[in-house]
Amino acid sequence: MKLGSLYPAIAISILLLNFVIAVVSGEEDRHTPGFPQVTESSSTQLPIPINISDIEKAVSELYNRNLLSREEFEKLKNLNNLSLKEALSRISNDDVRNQLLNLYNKNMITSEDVEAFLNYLDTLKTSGVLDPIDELLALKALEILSNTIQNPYTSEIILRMFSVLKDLEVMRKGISIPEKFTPSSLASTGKPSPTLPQLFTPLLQLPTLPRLRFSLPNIPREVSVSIYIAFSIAIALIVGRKYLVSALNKLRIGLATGRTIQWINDVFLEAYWRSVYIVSTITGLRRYDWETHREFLEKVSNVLDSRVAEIFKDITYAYEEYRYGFKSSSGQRILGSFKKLVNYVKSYT
Amino acid sequence: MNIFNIIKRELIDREILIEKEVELKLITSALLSRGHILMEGVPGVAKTYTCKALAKLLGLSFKRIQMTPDLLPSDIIGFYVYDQKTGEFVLRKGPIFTNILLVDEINRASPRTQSALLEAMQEKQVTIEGEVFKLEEPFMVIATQNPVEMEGVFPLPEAQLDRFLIKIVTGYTSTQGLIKIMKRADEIEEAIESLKPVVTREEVLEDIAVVKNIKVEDSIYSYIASIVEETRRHTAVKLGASPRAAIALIKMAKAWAYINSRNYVIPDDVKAVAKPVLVHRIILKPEFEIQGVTAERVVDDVLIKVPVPKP
Repeated sequence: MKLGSLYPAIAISILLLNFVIAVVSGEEDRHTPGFPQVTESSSTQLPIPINISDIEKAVSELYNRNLLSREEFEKLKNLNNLSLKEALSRISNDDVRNQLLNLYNKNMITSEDVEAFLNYLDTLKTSGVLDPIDELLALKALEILSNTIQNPYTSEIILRMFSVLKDLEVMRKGISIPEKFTPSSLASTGKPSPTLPQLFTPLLQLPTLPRLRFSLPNIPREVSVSIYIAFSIAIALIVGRKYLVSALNKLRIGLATGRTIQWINDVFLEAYWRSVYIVSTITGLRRYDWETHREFLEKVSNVLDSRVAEIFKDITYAYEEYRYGFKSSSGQRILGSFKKLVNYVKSYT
Repeated sequence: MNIFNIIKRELIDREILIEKEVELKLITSALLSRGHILMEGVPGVAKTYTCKALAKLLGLSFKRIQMTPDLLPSDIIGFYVYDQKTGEFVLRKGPIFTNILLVDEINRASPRTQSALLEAMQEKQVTIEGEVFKLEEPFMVIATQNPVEMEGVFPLPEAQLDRFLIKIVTGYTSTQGLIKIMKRADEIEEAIESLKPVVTREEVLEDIAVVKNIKVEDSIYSYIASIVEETRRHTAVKLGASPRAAIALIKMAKAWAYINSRNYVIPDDVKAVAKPVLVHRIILKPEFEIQGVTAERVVDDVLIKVPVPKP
């Protein structure tokens, strides 16, 4: 195979890869530019109502199962109807409270503010300095504040509250979440998994969070594997091309210089055509059927090393004399120069 | 040193003719092939100067005829006149009795006069009042024609076109060449007038004999045959190259090889002369001609299609 043909192969692989990704991602990524993307397709398949009263039920359930202390339960009591002031007063973390007060003091909060505060909570949570009860109350306060703006964060805040409760439950009961635990798998059964506690957990059946708007849809395993293999081959070909070319050239030159292959009955003519093959391999320039020996010589001379070009020129002129000038003595000249060419090319490669 | 090298040294190296090396090479090849030349080019591109300078250098007789519609065949060939002193008819030879005949604006002559050249060009002889006169060797007609003039001209018939060994299309020089010509205009004119023969007629005839004996390997004949046949198969061609074209191609290839200091023909020689030999012999289909297809392009297509001899 000509090395030049590897480039189209690489190009096709990359195109195929792009095409597969485009097709797969395009299925779920059609929305009007400039507008926030709505939740993914699962939202239409699982129209679970999001209601803060569900949180109250979950809190009661946790309390009934002794996973919440009395004090904690009191703090979270009547969560649905809490005012901003009440929510703030129940938060024990001063920093969180101050941050919320800062937000409140702003005349109008923006989506960026809400997002920044959620990130702030995430940071505190990761640092382990945020109590889950404080987090729930802070989220409630944020929910009240964010009501003044039209944004998609209300549902996210509620979902976060469910998430906090779920974490609380897992933490206090020492339950681990199964690896292949997906909302859709639970939704298909219509009831919670028997391995989970009897906690009302609408979170598990809720649609994907809006902030995951950039996530790709589920790609089938076969497609992923194909993409991975195609991509790996493409990268390997690009990176290893130089070495592959060199190796193939050596192989071809080795074959061409071997004594066992007889292409033409005349040994002198054969030497010329083998040298054409070698030079063609070195330069990557093919000799076309309509091209004369001199035209080919001129073409490759511009690319070849000057020493090799000189040797090949001598072979070509000797061939011309032998082939068309009926000068048999030129045959030996072809052979002599051919040997020089082979030796030079071998040492070179 | 062959004849072309001498001509080159005198005319090209001394810059008497500027950017005319290819034309000179073709004219010399045609002369050594004993063929005739049709030169096509707009006025003022040194067609006449080139022929004149060449004739002077070769020590050959040179005559020029300016063709007009009222020119008669006898004006070219010659005629018998009655000599009152001797009381006999005396032959007055026309300008065709020369070695190099420059026929300027050949397409301005009437078809009758044009056809008078046919016998001379093909047979190298003329018939006057039933008497045959051999023309002196070498005999070469260099006819010129202006490609842009359409009014008052008689386009050469195909039969006559085929009798020209080659057609040379002379173009304008480059800007640098033009500047050189302008600077040396007077010198060039004087230099051409003062040119002395550097090659004798006998030497030219010797070279013609050498060219005849240039070696041609069988595969070259096959290659030429394939080229000629391929011109007939081309979709844009109404009438392809004739067997005479094949003969012209081999003759020119031999002369080209000789000029390039070789005693054998290689495929490159055939390719080098293919266009001048074939373009005026190929008649295109009108629908392709309208689309802008040219005979030059057809020859290019053919040369790319026909494989050169192997191995």
